[in-house]
Amino acid sequence: MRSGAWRALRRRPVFWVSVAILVVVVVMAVAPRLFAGADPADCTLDRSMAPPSGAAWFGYDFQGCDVFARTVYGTRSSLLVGVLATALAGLIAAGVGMASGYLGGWLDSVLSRLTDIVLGIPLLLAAIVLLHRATANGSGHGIWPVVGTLGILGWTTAARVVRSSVLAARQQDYVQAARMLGAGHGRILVRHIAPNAVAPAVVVLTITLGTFIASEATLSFLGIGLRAPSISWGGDIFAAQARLRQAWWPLIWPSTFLAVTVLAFIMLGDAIRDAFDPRSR
Amino acid sequence: MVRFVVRRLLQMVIVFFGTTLVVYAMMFGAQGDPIQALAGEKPVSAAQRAYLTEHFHLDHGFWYRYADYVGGLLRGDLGDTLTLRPISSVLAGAWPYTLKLAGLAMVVVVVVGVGAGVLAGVRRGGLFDAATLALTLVVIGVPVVVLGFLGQYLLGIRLRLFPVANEGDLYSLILPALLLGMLSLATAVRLTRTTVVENLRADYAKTARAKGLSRTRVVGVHVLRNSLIPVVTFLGVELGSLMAGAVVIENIFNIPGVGFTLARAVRTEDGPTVVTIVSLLVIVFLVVNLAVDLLYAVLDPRIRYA
Repeated sequence: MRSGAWRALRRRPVFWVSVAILVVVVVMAVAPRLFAGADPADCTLDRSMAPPSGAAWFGYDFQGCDVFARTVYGTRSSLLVGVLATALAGLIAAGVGMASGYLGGWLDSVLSRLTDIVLGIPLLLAAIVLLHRATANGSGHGIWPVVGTLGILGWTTAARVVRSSVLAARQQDYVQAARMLGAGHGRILVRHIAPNAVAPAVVVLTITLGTFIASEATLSFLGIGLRAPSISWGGDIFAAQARLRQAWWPLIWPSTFLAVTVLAFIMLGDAIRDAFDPRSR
Repeated sequence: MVRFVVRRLLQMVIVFFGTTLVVYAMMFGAQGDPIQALAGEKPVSAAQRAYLTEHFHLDHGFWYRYADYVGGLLRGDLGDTLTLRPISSVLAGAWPYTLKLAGLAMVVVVVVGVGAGVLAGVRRGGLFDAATLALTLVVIGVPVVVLGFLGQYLLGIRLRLFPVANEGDLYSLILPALLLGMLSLATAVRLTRTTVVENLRADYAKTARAKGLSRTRVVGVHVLRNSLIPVVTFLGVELGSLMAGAVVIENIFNIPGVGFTLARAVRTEDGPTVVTIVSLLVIVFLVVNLAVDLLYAVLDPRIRYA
């Protein structure tokens, strides 16, 4: 099954395109210096809003900073927020999903209602409230409040997916057999049940990663995500939009990078889902 | 049916209390000094402090304040903003804009989304199908922030087809609504396409064709009706992201709606307003989803709620 999925995946150009984009993005986040020669903090007001030229292909923004350098250096925080928040959401989803799917009973009812409640609150609205609290508390504008907020709110879909795959696997004959052979709960859960949930959860989490990066940009745009001195795409978009009528280049580049990255994650998730879902093959 | 409605309502009550509690706790659970937050750096006189403490019941415990807040909410009393304006009057001016914006967006989603989805589904594998699939993928991937500015820049500033900011009339809402609806639109197209493709293969569609009905009638009446069921559910769920998108779009286009008010309340650290607006939006979301669940039975006679 798994090798079949891999074979189907390998033949999809969409898969390779998104993987290629993501490799570039990751390298950019790890070593931004490879891509941008200019220093993103090297800003002088006398070249404020200077249009694209030979020296700076993407032009300068209002503060006179190199737009391309800022965009490249902004990759790190955007990607870091996305990856860490997804890891947190994945952990919560695995815990909640496996507990409610495997143990069942009243715990399942409670956890499922909890999932309903969190799912019932639109992510962005709740994130606004939570982050608002974090900033009012003075816990700073680093990446951690954003990571925590997105992780705490974004686990629901993955938890449902994990729960349903655990529920389906629990009744299988091989699980009964393992139990009769004397395997404990922990072993059954980890060795026999959890592997079934991995593939569907990965699909959901890949797409979640894309939406988290978009959410971070949106929150930064609303002024409650990352703030200076962190460089982030959302923050740069927010800074550029007020002067859109005078200059388009400070807005276009962070927007493009953001859109392409989010798109790559969503396409990757889509391709993996198609490969694992035999109906769509 | 009655039993189902009762059970569903009870479930909604639980979710309502859970949600308001979560939102309220997030906002006020660990708050230091809301009065000082209101005043900023300025010192607060003892008399002012006493008045505000009394007004917002700050001398009582968390549960008392939560009960007071939910009680007021249920009685239709939305409370006051931190600057002591009734929130209901703040919202009264904002609702119509958001309602018009969301309504227009919904119309775009339903008309264009279902239309394109049916066309793509009927001509599966054709050029139109491939083009819509690629286009919807791009639209799904592009965040609202980017989409909003792109549309504003290209259609508003470059081509001057639409006003770039709100001018109070319906025409200036068209571009924001189009951009707001775009995200849900893409998903609606994909969903409609998938269900149309599935339903075209179903036995009843073949029977209808075999009876000699025209293709238009089979698609337009038999298949379409069944294909709309998942789309309707999706639209209910999608309302949540539509509301969140409205916060962004209203800020981009300066539309003084609910989302704009919410973002302003966030910036001015106006806790009561933030909590009330979010709670209201969540209630709207819950009620719409209940309505969608009930509509299910009307749309699909196979579903019987016992």
